[in-house]
Order: sequence, then structure tokens, then C-alpha cells
Amino acid sequence: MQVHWIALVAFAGIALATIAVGIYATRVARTTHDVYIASRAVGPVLNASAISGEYLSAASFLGIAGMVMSFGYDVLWYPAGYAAGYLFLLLFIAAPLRRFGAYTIPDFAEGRFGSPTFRRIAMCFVLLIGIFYMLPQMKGAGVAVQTIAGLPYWVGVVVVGSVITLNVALGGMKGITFVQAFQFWVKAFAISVPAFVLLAVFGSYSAHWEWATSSPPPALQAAIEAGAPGSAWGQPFGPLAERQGQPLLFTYSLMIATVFGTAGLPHILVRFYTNRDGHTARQTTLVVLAMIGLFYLFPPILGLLGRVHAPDLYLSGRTDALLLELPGRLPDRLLGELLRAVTAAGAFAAFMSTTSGLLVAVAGALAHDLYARTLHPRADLRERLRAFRFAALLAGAVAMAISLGIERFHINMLVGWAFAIAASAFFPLLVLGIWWRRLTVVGAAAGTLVGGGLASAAILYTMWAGDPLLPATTWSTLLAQPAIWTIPVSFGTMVLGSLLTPHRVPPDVNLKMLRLHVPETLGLRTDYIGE
Amino acid sequence: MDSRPDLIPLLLGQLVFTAVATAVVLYLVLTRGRTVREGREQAICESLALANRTLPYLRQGLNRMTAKKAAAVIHEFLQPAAVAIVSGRKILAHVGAGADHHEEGQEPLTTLSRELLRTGRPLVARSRAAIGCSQAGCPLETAVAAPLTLRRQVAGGLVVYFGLSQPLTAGKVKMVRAMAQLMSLQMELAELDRQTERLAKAELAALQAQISPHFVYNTLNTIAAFIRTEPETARQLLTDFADFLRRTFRRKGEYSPFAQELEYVHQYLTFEKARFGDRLEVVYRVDPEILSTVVPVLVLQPLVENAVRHGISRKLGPGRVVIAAEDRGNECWISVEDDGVGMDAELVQQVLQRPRRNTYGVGLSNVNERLRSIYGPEYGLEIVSRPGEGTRVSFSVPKYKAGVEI
Repeated sequence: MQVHWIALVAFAGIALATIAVGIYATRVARTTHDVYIASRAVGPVLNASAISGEYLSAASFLGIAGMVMSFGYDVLWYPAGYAAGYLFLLLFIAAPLRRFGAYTIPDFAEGRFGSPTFRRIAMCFVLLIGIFYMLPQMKGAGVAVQTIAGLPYWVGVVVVGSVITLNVALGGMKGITFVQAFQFWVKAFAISVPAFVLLAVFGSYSAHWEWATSSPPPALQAAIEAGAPGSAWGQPFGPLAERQGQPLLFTYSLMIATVFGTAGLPHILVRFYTNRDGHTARQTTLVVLAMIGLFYLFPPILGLLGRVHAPDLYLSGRTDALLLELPGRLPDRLLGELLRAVTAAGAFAAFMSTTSGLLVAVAGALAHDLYARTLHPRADLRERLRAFRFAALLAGAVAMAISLGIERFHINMLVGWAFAIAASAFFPLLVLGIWWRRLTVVGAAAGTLVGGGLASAAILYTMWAGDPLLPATTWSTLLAQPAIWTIPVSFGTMVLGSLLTPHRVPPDVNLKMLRLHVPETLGLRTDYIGE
Repeated sequence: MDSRPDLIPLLLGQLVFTAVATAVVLYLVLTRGRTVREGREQAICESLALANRTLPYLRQGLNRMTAKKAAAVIHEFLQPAAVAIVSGRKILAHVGAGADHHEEGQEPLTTLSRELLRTGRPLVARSRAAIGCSQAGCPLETAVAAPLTLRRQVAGGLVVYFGLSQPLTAGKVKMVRAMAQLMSLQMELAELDRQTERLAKAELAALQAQISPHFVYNTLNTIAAFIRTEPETARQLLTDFADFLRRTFRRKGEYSPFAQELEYVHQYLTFEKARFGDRLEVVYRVDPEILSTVVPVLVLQPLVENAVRHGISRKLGPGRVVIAAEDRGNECWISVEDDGVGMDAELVQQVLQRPRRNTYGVGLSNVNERLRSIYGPEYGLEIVSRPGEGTRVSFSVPKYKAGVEI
């Protein structure tokens, strides 16, 4: 396999640049002699860039384009759901959660119900979701290095994984809003420029649509004959849903998982803490919606281009590498290599930002909740820092080890599963915890356990026992995409559990509700609560 | 991979397993504390459970709402004809028979209640006459009355009435008296709670009022020095100082966002800079992510004042104070560093141990104690210092801690 040097240099370059910016530039940028402090707060646009940067992972950058190419426009439910999730955050969760002041979901669980036990349960799901979400990032790294350097899959996983893990463990990636915001713009640039250039060189979108669906060029025709999807590619309930026992059920379940999962992602919610108040939290979410919506215009276009110009990837089964392969199909070799360098840089930004955010969240949960609060409650500052480093290394190593065994799953599919677990475990907790007075700790804990537990069990079972794409029964659909029943079960358990234990409603529930819902500008809180 | 025929049974098994496990956990959680025990043990358990249920109400003090709730619980448990709680000259609560004429908020109708409030002695009424209800046809036949005391004064009484079919046994009398004692204890505790709270508030208020006289004196001197040479600067400083004082006295609440603490420090430093001129350089190195983190009030300014007063002012030549706040995941780390005269190890120990006499303002020991009491002993101040080289005082706070709210 050929080595693409320019892309490799860009790949390594963006890694070094990110680390260097994290270590030196922010330190310089944050040092001043005289400041008007309030003006230095992170504004909604900057914070929205950072959230988008952390959110757009390998799944969005590499995965969607690859999956669109593999399965057609059915896959559009993924980006639509990923973006629409912020709508629910905007409407129901962002502002109250910010007002509450909780930094993580375990913080919310403990603060709202006053139960350290529930905090630990929530922490376990943070760990599970965090590790699960890291797997597709690692896979993306493996595939990317495979494509641009011609090295085996595991080399990419281990090298990129180690670089990111070490950077986090050495303290390079904590809450660095500027770096994450910068990564968003890198990704937005790296995904849009190739789309424009390729369309300019190869012809219009509608022409490509024609080729992809009704009049395939010879190479694509050959691929279709060898098993690639045919004209159904452009249809609703196309090749992705059609493989399921119940295409409609599958589609709805997928939408539900992606839409409700966003609220439960541990690395995203912590970013809302940076907002000044509930109002700016809402503004931030709105800007995120716009930014992410814009970004997701491009992967489907690149998927379409890939189907027409790189149909050989169907045969090799490496559609996840589409974004790195596609520039090579340009007639001008140098332009192709340069574009590949751009997408390689974007891909690295994608693994780096999301994996770092997840590692910080997971290591934070391990060090803060497990170590400092349970195992060694009297740990001092230095011991806590050491625990964080060790936890980051451990979590990174675990994620890398597991990723070596998941090469056969599509990046995007893995992310979809992480969303399903997050949606089942945390979405009902957040919605009911914020909006329902009568929720009790028993109900909430049972719902989180049942919903999250069932979703994880179903998904792990699917991963372990079956090819998620092959079995074609209703049962297998429900297992492969469980959100449609696990979220209602979780909600139901919470409501039932709470109604059965009315005496466990926290006595200070009205105070908590006040804290969650009264806008800061009313100034009610200091006076009213202070009484 | 082939779709395996044994898929569905396996999956069913797993689902059933999960469901059963969940059911068991739920059952255990829901039925905890309701386990029925036998005989004597059961009676003890029930009294304790009763006490446990009335306590939270009375812990909030004795008023009509809490009295009503406590009376209802006792009524449900003892199953007498009625339960009344009286206080001062009023019936606070009357639950059960006779509620039509034993009205809440009114003066007690019975001589028993009046006698109880007057003498503060436990009483037993074995007949209607002893109860002395002025209403004809009152269903209450016998009664046990016991005083509720608060700091050895009679604060009220618990009266439990029984009807015709309910014999008045010695056990019931004992039970009511024990109950009243328990309730008194709770009211004592409630009073203690309120006192502690008042004390804490007073302490905080005193803390906020304690601006160091040195600081006021120095600032006024500085302003005086400017009046001739730079009247405009002097005027500005005076306005700022008035603003600063107003802010200091008006602050309320135990906690505030870190941004507010920084602004306060910034304001404070205006005067120190005016005084020291070029001799004092201040550098901020603050991660904007933690500006909204909630911290105890006046947690930063004493550290900065300490650095200026004990570090820089005693040093010949210019000095530099670095105020740093770092985002460290679930915690933030805050430090104040100076390159002043420094301290030896002995002095470092002393500084944290107790407030020294003749020092005013909020000392480091006070910050240290507050941090430790809010977040736990491992969150206190950390001082690193070497004579001649400077001092760094630092601490870290969790980004969220239940109860630490604005």
C-alpha cells in the first residue's frame, strides 16, 4: 500500500499543533496584567464552537460519508438525529441544568436527590457510555492511519490512542475551550473544501445523483453486480433499514436514540457549565444547532461522490476511509494529495477533540467519584491529580484494547449505540428530574438502571452474537436498535417507582425546582432561597 | 456471520434474567423498613418508627402546620379518640373526635388543657368531669396530658383523648409521656439549629464588615498624598474607595461566583497599586471556563492581601503577585503567588493554625477553616514558602458540591 506523505505530515502536524496550542498558547492567552474580568467569560459563540468541536467526532467526519456511500440516503437519519438532539437540549435541559450548577450528570443525580448511592450508579453509566463512545474514535484512527500510511489497523489505534491519552494524562486537555473551538473550524474547513473542489471538478450534484441511482458508470455497475446496493440506494427504507426485520421500527428507533442521546453524553454536558447563566446556555445551544446543521450538509454530498467515483471501496469494505480515499480520484494528482492532507487533518481533529473530551470525563469520574469519594476519601490535591492521570491512562488503554476487536462494525453504528445507551440511561432522568416534582430517588435510580442496563445488554448481545446487519427478525431489530423500547421502559420505571414510593420525594424538592427554573435575572434566588 | 437459530432463546433468557433481577432489586428497595417483626420487638420498632416520623416535623419548630402533622401521625399510630397539641393560649392542632368544637386556633375548652399549660405537670383525666369540656355531648371520655418543654419552660402540651370503648391503661399513660418528652427534645434541637444558623450568619456578617484598618488607613493616606499632586487621580480613587466599601458591606450570602471574587480582588488591588506604584505588579492567569464556579465568599481577597502585605510590602524593590485559576476537570485550582520575603516553615504552620491576636481582616486561617468545613479536611489551604524567595498559597474546590449554591 502506498504512503501518502503530504497527508501524513498534515496528520502529524495537526496533532502537534493541538498539543502545542493546549500547552503554550492558552497559557499565554490567559495571562494578563489588568482585566475587566466579566469581559473574559466564554461567550455563546465561542462556547458553541467548542461544543460543536467536541461533538463532531470520527462518526460525523468519516463515518456518515462512508455509511451514506454504503447504505444510501437512509443513513441521513443519523446526522438529522445528531443535530436534532440539541433541540431537546435547548427546550428542556440546557438552561435549567446550568442554573442548577451541576457540572456532571452524577453531580445532578446527587444534588437533585441528595443520594450518594444514586451518584455512583450514574457514574457507572458515565464510564460505560464514555468508553463505548471512544471505540469508534479509535477505529477511525486505525482506518485513517491504514489509509494514509499503509500501516496495519492496530498501529493507528495504538499510536493515535497513545498520543491522545498521554496528552490528556499530562494535563493538556482540561476545559480548553479555545482548542476545541479551533478543532471545530478545522473540521468545518476540512469537510467543506473537498466537497466544493470535487463538485467543481466532476460536475454538479444532480448529475452525480443521476449516476448514483439510475445510470451508473461502468465501475459502479461492476460493483453493483458484485453486491453493492443498486438503485434502492437513493430510496427511503433502502439498504440500511431493509436488512432489518422491521425497517420502519428500525428507523424510528434509530431516530429516537440519536435525538435523545445527545442529552446524555458526558463530555457534552460538562461544556454547558462554562456558560454564565441559563440564558446564555440557551443561546449557546441555538448556535450549536446552526453550526452542526451546517456541518452535516457535507458528509452526504461526499457519500454520493464516493459512490460514483470510488466504487472499489464497496468491494474492499473500507467505506469508512472514503474521505481519505476520495481526493485521490481527482485527475490532478497534486491537488488530490493536498486535499487528502486537508481531510487527514480534519480526521485527526475529530478523533482528538472527541476522545480527549471523553477521556477527561471518564478519568474525572474515576478520579473524583470512585477514588476521591469512595476508595480514598482523604486524598489530598497531589493524590487526586495522580489518580486522574492514572485513570486517564487506564481508560485510554481499555478503549484501545477493545477497539482492536471491533474493526468489523461501522464507525457510525458504534456511535449510534453509544447514543442509545446514553438516551436510555440519562434522558429520562434529566427530563423527569428537571420537570417532575414527584420523582423520587428510588424511581429515578430504578429507571436509570433498568433503561441503561437493558439498552447495554441488548447492544452488547448484538455485538457479541450477531452481525448487526444480517439477522432479519423483529427481535433482532429490537436488539440492534433498542432505544424505541428501552427509553419508554426507563420512563415507565421512573414514574411507577416514584408513585410507589411517595414518601421518598426529596423534602427540599420545591427549592430544587426553584433553583432549576427561576431565571437568574429575576434575582429571586438569593432573596427567596436565603430566607 | 450466520444468524444463529439459538439466538432468540438466548436473548429471551437474558431479558428474563434482567427483568427478574430488576424486580428483586425493586422489591428489596420498596419493602425495606416494612418488615414485620414479632411481639415486643415489634412494639419497640413501632414506637421508634413513630418517633422517627414525627421528628422531622417538630425539628422545624412548633407551629400550627408542624403540630398538625405531628398530631396526625400520633393519631394514626395510637388510634385514640383524638390528639391535641396546645401551646401558649391556643389549640395548635386537634386531630380526631370532637374537632367540631375543639377548634384549632381557639382557646382550649377543657380545664385539663388549661391546667396543663398553667402547671406544666403531666395530668391524667379518668372521667369527663376531669377533662372538663364545656360542650355537652363531647365524645371524649378520658385523657392523658403531658407538657412540652423548651429550656425548662412549658412551651405547650400534648393531650391524647380516649373514647368510651378505649380503656385507659398504664401503658398508654407512659407512652404519651414518653412521646411528649421526645417531642420536647426535638424542639430543643430545632431551637439549637436555629441558633447555630443565626450564629453562622452573624459570623459571616462580622467577617464581611472586617476590613482591615491597616488597609483603610493606608488607602486614605495614599489618597491624601495624591490630592496635591494629582487631584484627578485622588478624586477617582476616592470614588472607587466609596464604591468598594459599599460593595463590601452590601455583600450577602455565603457563596458567590468566582468571577465576582476576582472583580472584588481587582477593585481592592486598585488601591494597593496606587499606594505601591511601580513596585507592585499583578498578573492574572485565569481560565475563563471556571469564572462561573461557585466558591465561598471572600476566599481570594485575604490571600491577595496577605501576599501584598506580608510578601511585597516588606520587600525592597518591585514585587509581583500572580493570581492563577486553573480548570482541572472536576475541580478548579486557585493560587496566589508572590515573590516577596517569604516565610520559614514555622511561620507557615502558625499562619494556618489560629488567628493571631492584633491581626484584623479575614485571615488565612479563617479561609482555611471555611474551606475545610465546607469541602472536607483535604480541601484546605496549601502554603509553599521559602524565606527570601516568595510564597504560594493555593487551594482547590470541586466545581459542584451539593449545598454550595448561590
